Amino acid sequence: MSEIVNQIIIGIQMGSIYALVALGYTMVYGIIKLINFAHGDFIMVACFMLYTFIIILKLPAILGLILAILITIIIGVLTERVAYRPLRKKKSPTITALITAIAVSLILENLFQLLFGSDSKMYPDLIKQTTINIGKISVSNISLITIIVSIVTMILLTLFIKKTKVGKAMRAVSENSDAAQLMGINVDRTISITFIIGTFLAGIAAIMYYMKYLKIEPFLGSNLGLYAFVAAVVGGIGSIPGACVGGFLIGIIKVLPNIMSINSSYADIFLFGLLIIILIFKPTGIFGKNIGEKV
Amino acid sequence: MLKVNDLKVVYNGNIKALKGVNLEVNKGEIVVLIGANGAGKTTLLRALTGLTKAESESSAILDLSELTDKRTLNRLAGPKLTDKLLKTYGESDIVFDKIRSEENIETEVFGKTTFINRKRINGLRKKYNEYIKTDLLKLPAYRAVDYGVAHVPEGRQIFVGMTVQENLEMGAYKRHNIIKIKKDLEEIYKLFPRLEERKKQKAGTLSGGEQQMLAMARAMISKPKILLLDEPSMGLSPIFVSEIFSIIKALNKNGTTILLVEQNAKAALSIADRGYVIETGNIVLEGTGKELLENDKVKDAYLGA
Repeated sequence: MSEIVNQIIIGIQMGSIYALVALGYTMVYGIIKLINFAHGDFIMVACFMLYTFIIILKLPAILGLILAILITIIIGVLTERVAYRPLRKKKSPTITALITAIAVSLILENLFQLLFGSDSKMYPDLIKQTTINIGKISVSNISLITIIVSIVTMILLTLFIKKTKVGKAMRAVSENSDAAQLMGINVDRTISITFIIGTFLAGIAAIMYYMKYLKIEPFLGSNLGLYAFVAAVVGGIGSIPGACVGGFLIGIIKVLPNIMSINSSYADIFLFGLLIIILIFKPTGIFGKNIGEKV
Repeated sequence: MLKVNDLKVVYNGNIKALKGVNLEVNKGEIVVLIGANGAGKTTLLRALTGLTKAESESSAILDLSELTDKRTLNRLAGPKLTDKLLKTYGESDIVFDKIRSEENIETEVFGKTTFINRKRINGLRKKYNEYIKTDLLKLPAYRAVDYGVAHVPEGRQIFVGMTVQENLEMGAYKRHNIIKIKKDLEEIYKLFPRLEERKKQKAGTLSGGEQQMLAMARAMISKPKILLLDEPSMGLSPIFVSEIFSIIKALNKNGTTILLVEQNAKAALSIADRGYVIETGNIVLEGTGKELLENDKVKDAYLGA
C-alpha cells in the first residue's frame, strides 16, 4: 500500500512538471492559436543555462536560477518577435506558423548540441536530497518542493488571469483580438506578455526537471514537450485548469506500470491510448468548451 | 469633427472595396451611411479604426480642437504639468486657450522663465497641435479609443466567455479613475437594466438584442466623442430595434457624435441629421435625413416603397 502511495507521489511530482510545461502550450495556443512546438525546447534552454551558471561558472544557486529564467524569457520573447510575429502580420495560414515552430525547435536543439555537445551532462544535487518519512510513506524533499511550488504557481497564474487587468486583456485578446484592439488593448504587447509568462513557467519547470533528473541533454525538450503537449490536449487546449489536470493525469499514468508491476513500456501505451479515447469522445479535451456565438 | 478624404481600401491586392470615399461628420450630428450588402459600409468603419488598412493616400482627419476637458489635458500634459496648469488658470478650457495662444506662459505657470520650462510648454504645444489634427488612418487600431473613437463592430463581437460586467470593464480598459468608472457603470446599468440583472452571467448566454446592448454599453463606457455603429439593428426583433434607435438618439442628445451604418434605412434616416448612400465602394448620394427619405432613388432601392 505504502509503495503505491510513494509511486503516486512520484507521479504527481512528474505531473507537476508536465503541468507547468502544458500551461505554456495552452496559454500560447489560447492567445495566438499556435501550437508552439519550440516550447519544450525552452525548458532545455533553461536547463543548460542552469548548468552553465551553476556548474560551469559556479555562481550562487539563487543567482543562477534567476539568470537562467531571465535568459529563457528573452529567448522566448525573441522567438515570438522574430519568427511568429511577422507571420501573424502577413496573416499567413496556421500551418505556416506550425512549421515555423518546428523549425525553431530544431534550431534550438541543434544550436545547443553544437554549443554543449550531444552527450548528457551529469551534475551534483542542486540541494541536498533528504527523505521525509510520514508513517510508512517516504517522500523526498525534492518531490515535496516540486509539488508545492507548481501548485502555488498554478494558483497564482489562475488569479493573475482572472483578476488582473493584464490577465483580463489576455483573455480578451484570446477571445477576439479585433474587439480587444477596439478596447485599446495592444495585442502585440499582450502576446509578448503571454510568451513571458509561458517561458517563465518553462523556467520553473526546468528547475524542477534539473533537480529531479540530475542529467540534461540537448534533446530533452522534445520528449518532455511531447508529454506536456498531450497533457494540454487531454485537459483541453486553451484551458488553464485543463493543463494542470492533464499534467497530473499524465504523471500518474506514467507510474501506473510501476504500481501494477508490469513493464514500464506500458506507460506510453496507456497514455497515448487515453489520448485517442479522449479525442474520440471529447475532442475538445476534459475542460475544453465550445461557446456558441449568437448572431 | 471627422473628415474622411479619398478613403480607399483594397483587399488581396485587387479587390477594391472602397474607391475613394469622401465624407464628413460634424460635431453633435447623427450621420447615417446606408447601402446594400457588400457596398463597403463595414469596411469603411473598420478602416477608420484601423482594423483594416487603408491605402496610403487616404486620410481621416479627426478634429479634436473642441476637446478641452481635464482628461484630454492630462493625456497631453501628464499629471504633474496638468496640476500646475490647472492651479494657474483654474479651468481646463482656459488652459487650452492659453495653449492655443502664442503667449509666453511659462513664467505664469512656473514662476520663472528657464530653458527647461520653455521646452516643457513648447513640447505641450507641439503635442497639442498634432493631437487636434490626428489622422485616424495612421494610428494602430488599439489607439483609436485614446482619441475618443469607439467602434461597435459588425456582429457585436462581445467577449462571449467573459461576464457582462467583465465586458464592460474591458470597455473601460484605457480609463484609470476607478471611482468614476464605477459611477459610469451604475449609469450604464440604469440605462440598460437588463444588463445589470445579468452582470454575473457569461455574455455568450445573452440574447441577440441583449448582446447588442452590451456591445453598445461597452463602447459607451470608454466615454467616446464619436461613436461608430455597424448595423446595430441586424437580426433584432422590431421591439429591440426601436429600443436601440432610441438609445442612439439619447446618446447623441448627451453630446456623442454618431456615425451609423445601417441596412434598416427607414429607421436610420429618420433619426439622422445627414446621410450618405454608398454603392460598390462609392458615395452616390448625400443629403439631410429628410431629403434622402424623400429621394426617389432611395425609396426604390432601400425603403422598399
